[in-house]
Amino acid sequence: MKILFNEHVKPFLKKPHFGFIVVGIILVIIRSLVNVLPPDLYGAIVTTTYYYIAGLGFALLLGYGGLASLGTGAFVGIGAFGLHYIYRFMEMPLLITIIAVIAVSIVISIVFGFVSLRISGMYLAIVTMGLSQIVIEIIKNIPNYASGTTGGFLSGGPRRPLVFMGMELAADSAVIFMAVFAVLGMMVVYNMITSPTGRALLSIKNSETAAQTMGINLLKYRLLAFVISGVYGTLAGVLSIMFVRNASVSQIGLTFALNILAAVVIGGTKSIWGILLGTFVIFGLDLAVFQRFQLGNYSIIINGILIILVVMFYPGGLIQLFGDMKKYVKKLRLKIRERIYGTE
Amino acid sequence: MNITTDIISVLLNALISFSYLSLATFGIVLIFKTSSTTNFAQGMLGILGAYATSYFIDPTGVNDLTGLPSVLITSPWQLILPMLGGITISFVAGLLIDVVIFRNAKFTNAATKQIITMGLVIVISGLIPVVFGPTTRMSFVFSDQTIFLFGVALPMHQLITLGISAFLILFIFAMLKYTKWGLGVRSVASNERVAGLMGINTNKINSLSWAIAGALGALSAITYTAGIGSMSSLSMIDMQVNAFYASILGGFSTFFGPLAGAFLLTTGQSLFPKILVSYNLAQWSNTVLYFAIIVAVLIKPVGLFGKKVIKKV
Repeated sequence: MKILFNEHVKPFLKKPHFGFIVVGIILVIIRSLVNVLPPDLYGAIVTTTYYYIAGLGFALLLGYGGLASLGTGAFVGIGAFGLHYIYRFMEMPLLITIIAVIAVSIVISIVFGFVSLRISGMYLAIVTMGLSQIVIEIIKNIPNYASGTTGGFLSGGPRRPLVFMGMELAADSAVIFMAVFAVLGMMVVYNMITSPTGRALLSIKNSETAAQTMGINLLKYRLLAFVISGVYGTLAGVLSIMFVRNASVSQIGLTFALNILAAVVIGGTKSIWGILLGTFVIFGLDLAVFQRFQLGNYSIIINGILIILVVMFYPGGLIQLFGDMKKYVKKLRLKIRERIYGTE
Repeated sequence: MNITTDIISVLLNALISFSYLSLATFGIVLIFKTSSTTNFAQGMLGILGAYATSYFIDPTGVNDLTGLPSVLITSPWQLILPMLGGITISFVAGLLIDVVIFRNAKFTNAATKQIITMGLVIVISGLIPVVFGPTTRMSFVFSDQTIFLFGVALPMHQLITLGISAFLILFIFAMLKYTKWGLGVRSVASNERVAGLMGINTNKINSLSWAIAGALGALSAITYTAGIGSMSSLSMIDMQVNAFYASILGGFSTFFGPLAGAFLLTTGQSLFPKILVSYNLAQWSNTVLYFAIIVAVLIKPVGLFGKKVIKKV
C-alpha cells in the first residue's frame, strides 16, 4: 500500500497540474456552498476568479513578453459586450457566441501585437491605452449601449435568458464555467511557459536583438503572446457578464487596466499562484476582509498603501513572501536544533 | 465669412482647452523626464488641490437643497488666497510623494513605478472624503461675465485662465532655459546617474519637479472644475488621459513637443466634431481623434517632435 502511494499517487500529487485541478474542485465546492457563505466573501472569490483569468493572460505578456500593455480592458469589454450583443440581439446559441467573441478578440489582439512591434516601453503602454479607448468608444457608439452599459439579458427589449444546451443558467452556474476555464487556463499557461515558447518569450524580453540573432521570430511570438492574453481577457469578460449579468464601460477603462497590471506585479509576474494572490489583493481583499471592520473610506486608503508597500519592498511579488517565510522557518529550526544539540 | 468665424471659433476653443491641458501635460512631462515614470496620479494631485481650495473658500460646501455654495464671492482676495493655499497643498503633497516614496524606489523598473502612482491614486481618492467630508463641493469661477470676440462667445473665466497658463508656461520655459534649476532638470532628464556624478543634487531636482508638477496640476484642476461647473475625484481623469496622448503625440524627448501635441489634440477635439457633424457622425469624433493620434505615433514612434535616441546593444 505504501509502495503504491509512494510510486503512483505521490508523483501525481507533486505535479503542478494537480494543484490546478484542486482550484477547480474548490470552486465547484464554493458554488454548492452559495447559501452558507456570506455573500460578500462569495462575491469576492468569484470576482477574483474571473479577473484571475485576465491576469494570467496578462502575466504572459508582462512577465514573459516584457510588454506593459494597458489594453486589457478592451478585451474584457469585447467579451462582456460582445457576448451580450451576439447572444441577445443576434440570437445565437451560447457556445457559438463564445467562439465568435473569441474570434473577434483574436483579430483585435493581432492589431495590438503589430503595434507592439513598432513601439516599445512607456509609449506602448499609452498607445495600448488609446487602442482600448477606441474599442470602448466603438462599444459606446452601438445604439444599444449608448449609455455605456448593458441592461443584462432580461431587462427591456427582446428578453433572452441565458440557455446552455437546453438548460437555463442561473448566475451562480457561471461559477462552474469559471472552474473549467480557470483550470484550463492555468494548464495552458503552465505548459506554455515550461515549453520552448516560454523560453523564446523570455529571451525576447531580455534582448530583442539577441533573440533575433538566435533565430527567434519576433513577430510570431509577440503576436502569440498578445493573442493569448487577449483571449484570456475576453474569457474574463464573458464569465463576468455571465455572473454579474450586466456590464458597464466605466469598469473597463484605464483604472481596470492598471488594476490588472497591479494584480500581476503584486503577486509576482512569473508565478501562476502569485497572480492568484495578487488578484485577490486587488479585487477581493477590500470586499472580503476590510469591509468586515466597518472602516468606511479608510479601507480604500489601507488598500492603496498596501499596494505601494508591497511593490516597493517586494519587487518580486507577494509569492516571494512565502519563499522568505520558508527560509526563516528553516533558519529558526536550525537555531533551535543548535540550542538543543549544540553546534556539532 | 462663415468659414472664417468657424475657423476662429475652432482655434479659440482649442486654445481654451489647451490652457487647462498644457498645465496638466507639463506636469506629466516634468515627472516623466526626471523620475522616468508615467504619473497616473497627476490628476488626483490636482484634484486634491482643487478640493483644498474649495474647502478654504467655503468650508461647509454646497447646500444639497439649493445646489448653491454657502459663500458669496465679493472680493478677488477671497479667491486668490485660497487658490494659493490649494496650490501649496498640492505642491507639498508632490514633494512628500517624492521624498517618502519615489526616492526609495528610484532604481525599480517602469511597471513598478506605474503601480506606485496607481496606488497613490487609490490613496488620495480615499483620503479626499476623509479630509474634506462627504459634502458636495464646487470650484469658483473668476468671473461670471461673457464677452464676444470675433463673434464667438467666450466666458471671462476661461480667458483669465488662458492668460495665467500662458504666463506660467512661458515662465517655466524661461526657468528651464536660464536658471540653475532648469539646467539641473535637463541634465537629470538626459541621465540621472551621470548628473549625480557631476555634482547635481538629483534628489532636490526630483522632489522639486514633483512639487511643481503637483502645483501645475492643482491650478489646472481648480480652473477646469470651475469651468465645467462640477467637481468630483474623477473629474481630471479625462484630462490626464488626454495629457498622455498629447505627450506621446508630441514626443516625450523634448519639453516643447508635448505642448505642441497638446495643442494639436485640442484643435482636433474642437475641429473633428465640426467636420463630422455635417455627415451626421458627430459621436465618432473621439474615435477618429484617437485613431489619428495612434496612426501618427505609428508613423513616427518617437512623436512628431521627438528625437530618436540610439541605444547601445
